[in-house]
Amino acid sequence: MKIEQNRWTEQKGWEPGPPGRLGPSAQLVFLFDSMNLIKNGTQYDFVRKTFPNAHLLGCSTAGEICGTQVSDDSLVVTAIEFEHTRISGTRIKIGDARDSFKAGERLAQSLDKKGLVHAFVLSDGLKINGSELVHGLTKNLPPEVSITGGLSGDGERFQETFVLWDGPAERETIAIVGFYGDRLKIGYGSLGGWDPFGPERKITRSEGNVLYELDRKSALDLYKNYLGEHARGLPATGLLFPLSLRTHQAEAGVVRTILSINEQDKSMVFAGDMPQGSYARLMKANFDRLIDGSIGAAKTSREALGASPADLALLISCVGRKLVLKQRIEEEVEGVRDVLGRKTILTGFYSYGEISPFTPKAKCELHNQTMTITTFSER
Amino acid sequence: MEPLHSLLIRQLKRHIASFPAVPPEWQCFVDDVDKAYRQFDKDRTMLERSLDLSSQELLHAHSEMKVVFERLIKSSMDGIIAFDRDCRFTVWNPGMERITGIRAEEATGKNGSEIFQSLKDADEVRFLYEALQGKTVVAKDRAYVMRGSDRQGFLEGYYSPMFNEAGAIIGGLAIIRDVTERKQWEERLRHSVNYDPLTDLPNRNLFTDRLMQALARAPWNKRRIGVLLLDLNRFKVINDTLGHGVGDLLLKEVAARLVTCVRKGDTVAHFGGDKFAILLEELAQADDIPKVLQKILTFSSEAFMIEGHELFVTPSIGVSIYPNDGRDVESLLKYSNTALLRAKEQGGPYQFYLPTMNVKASQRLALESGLRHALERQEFLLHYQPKVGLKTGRIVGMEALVRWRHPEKGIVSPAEFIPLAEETGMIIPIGEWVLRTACAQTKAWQAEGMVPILIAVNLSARQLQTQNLVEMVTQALSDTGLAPRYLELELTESVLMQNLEATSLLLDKLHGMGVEIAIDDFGTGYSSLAYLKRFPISSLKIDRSFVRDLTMDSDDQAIVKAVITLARSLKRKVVAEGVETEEQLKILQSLDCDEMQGYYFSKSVPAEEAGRLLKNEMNRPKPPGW
Repeated sequence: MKIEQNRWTEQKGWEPGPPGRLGPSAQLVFLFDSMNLIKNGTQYDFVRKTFPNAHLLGCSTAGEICGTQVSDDSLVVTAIEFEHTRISGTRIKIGDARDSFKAGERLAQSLDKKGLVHAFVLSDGLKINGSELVHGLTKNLPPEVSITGGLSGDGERFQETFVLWDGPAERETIAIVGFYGDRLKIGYGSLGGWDPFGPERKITRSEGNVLYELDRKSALDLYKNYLGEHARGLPATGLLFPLSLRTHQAEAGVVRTILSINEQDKSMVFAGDMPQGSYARLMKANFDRLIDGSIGAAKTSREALGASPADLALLISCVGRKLVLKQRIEEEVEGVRDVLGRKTILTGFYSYGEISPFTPKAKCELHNQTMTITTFSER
Repeated sequence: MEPLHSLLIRQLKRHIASFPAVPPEWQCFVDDVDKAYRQFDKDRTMLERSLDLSSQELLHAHSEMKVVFERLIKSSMDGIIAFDRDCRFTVWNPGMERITGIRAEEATGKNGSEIFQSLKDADEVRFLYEALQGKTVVAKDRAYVMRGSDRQGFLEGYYSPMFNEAGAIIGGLAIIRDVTERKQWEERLRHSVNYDPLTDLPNRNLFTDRLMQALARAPWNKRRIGVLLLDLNRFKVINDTLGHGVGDLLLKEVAARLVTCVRKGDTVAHFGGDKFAILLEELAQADDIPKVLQKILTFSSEAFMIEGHELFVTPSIGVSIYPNDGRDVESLLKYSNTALLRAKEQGGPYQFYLPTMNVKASQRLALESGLRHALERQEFLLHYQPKVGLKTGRIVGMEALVRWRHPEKGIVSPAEFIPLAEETGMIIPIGEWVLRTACAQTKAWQAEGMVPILIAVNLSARQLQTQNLVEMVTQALSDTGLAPRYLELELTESVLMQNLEATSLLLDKLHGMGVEIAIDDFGTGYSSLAYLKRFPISSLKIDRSFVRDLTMDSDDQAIVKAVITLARSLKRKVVAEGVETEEQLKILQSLDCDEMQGYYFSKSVPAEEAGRLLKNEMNRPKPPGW
């Protein structure tokens, strides 16, 4: 596997220099961008021309990962030439979040299952019910095919998100790419590191991923009360207090974050299902536990590959972590690199949701507030 | 521009002499540190705020739950206690105060052993400590005495450990319920299953159970067991005439006296009605039973005073003995009953069971079922035995005697089936049939132009007790068209002397109609001469036992002579029964007896032959001996 990685910023232009080393031999190029550069224009055209034979896959973000650096307002381009692996992909449009399950089904059905090892998904980050999307995917893919991916971001604005597949990035889009070949090894892992606190609250009113009431009181009012002066920053500041969701007594909780709020009916839209009758607890961050979470996800991902190091690691981390860690955000990427080693190229982005099983053998789920890592290696 | 973070200013003052001027190469670093300090402050403030809020929420939820919890505990009728790891009480609710008589102020903070030892309740303390060792204890129906009272009660307790989230035992709790009332109900229920409600003696159920247990032990201790079944003669009469209230009180008295007749380990049971049973266990000798029987007979000879009535009741008793008569409950009870029936039959106070009784009992049963159908199947018929005037030698009357032609056994003797008919009540319809048939026959003879005779029909004690005897007789006479003066009703001496007042009234009515009355078997029972004089009796029939030995026994002759003299003075006729020889006839003639009946003249004969005898009577010479 050959990889070429370049970053473009307004101040510095291309670093370390303009891309092009792999040129026509590149098969897949990841583009992560928080400057709307991939929608159209010079940089997009340049990349397209530089890698004429490659499939382009990318999305808008809340921050890009390039090596151990986390930057805003940049475009990170990672081109890959596989030795033994074939790829194939597609994109679809989604008009309504209620169609999420169907979208997942359609995407899964579009892939040729023969020799399929792994599916990687990038989705619109706002007009989607991520849980339903994952459900639609897993139901229509063979159980041995692993699935990872993420929801695209829009900084801390939560306005509009974009996804691209072999063309300029568009809104309300979901793209999938399938990896084929028996010499490709995939590893994955996902961890949060948030701590629940305060009383457990029952979800007394909700519809799909829209939450109205906890313990028969307005959920939005509860959030405003806890956020205090930060309430003005909603919905982004809602990421400071994600919810730990427990559907059944013994089940390990999943983490849910806010996508948007509605002042009219005092509702909050979450990135995944908020089933009525389940229990939720507010969560809070602890710097060290967040960084430990990333390291844990890296370890799980790496163990799946065995002795040899990964060639490439795709890091999809939640925007909520970036909000909390701020200046210390690179510590979590550094932690990942310490586990994976210097030979592994790191790329990825800060997202509005992560898609992955927690551990190998576990069910693929939508997560929030986690660091989710997919590692690739060819043998 | 915002001033730097106060902590950073102090640190810069301390370490950089030129401050507030910062070396240009440090500026970026200082800005980053300032940003980091501010971010930490903000995050900390927000976290503190959120923790404060959630602690308020939890406090609120806690106090709400506490209110509910305290209300629940206070309003529970059950005793609820909680204790810490050192077994010191932390909760002691009003229910527990009620049960133990110990106030919450006394108990809380004190150790379990301290509190319960004052109540001498070691078990309770043990349960508390077992709960503290992680066990769940359920203690049911523990006897318990409340402090400051002698009231004996029963408790049911549930003791369990309390764990914290880590699973460590932090104490325990117990729920204790006063189940005294429920126990009492259960006891009462159990009692009612095994005891007769009137006499409070064991009932058949418990008796059977005890007999079964005694039988189980018996083979080991090689002792005998006696089963006595007892009922009261004429109890029904007392019940009917004096009412059930008196009857019940009498039964209670009898029960009380019976208990005094047996040893402590024996059982006196009341099977209901006037039936009692006695279980005599571990009898060393068989003559222990007669001792008990004697005691019972002795007590029953004393009068019972019930609501001003002086009542005499005599028992009939049937006895069966293990192992002689049977080895199981069923046979022993069955055989004592057979013996009881025999005792009643014989009018004796008691009977020991004999194997022959059993044969008789089953025969009797067969006879009884046959008897029930005999009337409808027209198996009864009448024989007639002539009565002859001793002076004239002429037939003056006939005694109608019932016979039963059994389809398999042939003719069954009245001695065999009449007592059974009496006992079962079948005598009423049979008696009516006899009366009607006899009346109709006599009328028929008269219609044939034969010499009119007096027809004698026997009345039983049971018939005498029926309300409508007079109506029945009237109806029979009018239906057959026989004039009352041709009918004579025969009653035995013992029947006549029972219930003197009622009998006297009845006889007066019958006599008033023109019907004649005769006393049968005279001399075998006890007659009050006063009544003999008062009753409208036309004739006395001297029992055959006196007539039989008339020729050999001068005593019998004297008796017969006395009876005849008595009858003369009372202006009653005398009839001698069972005359079989000429010698007997001569003596009777010499003693001036009026009439005779017996083989010497004729045995009882079917109606046709009786008719022939009557026909011959018109042109017959005086028979020999007259």
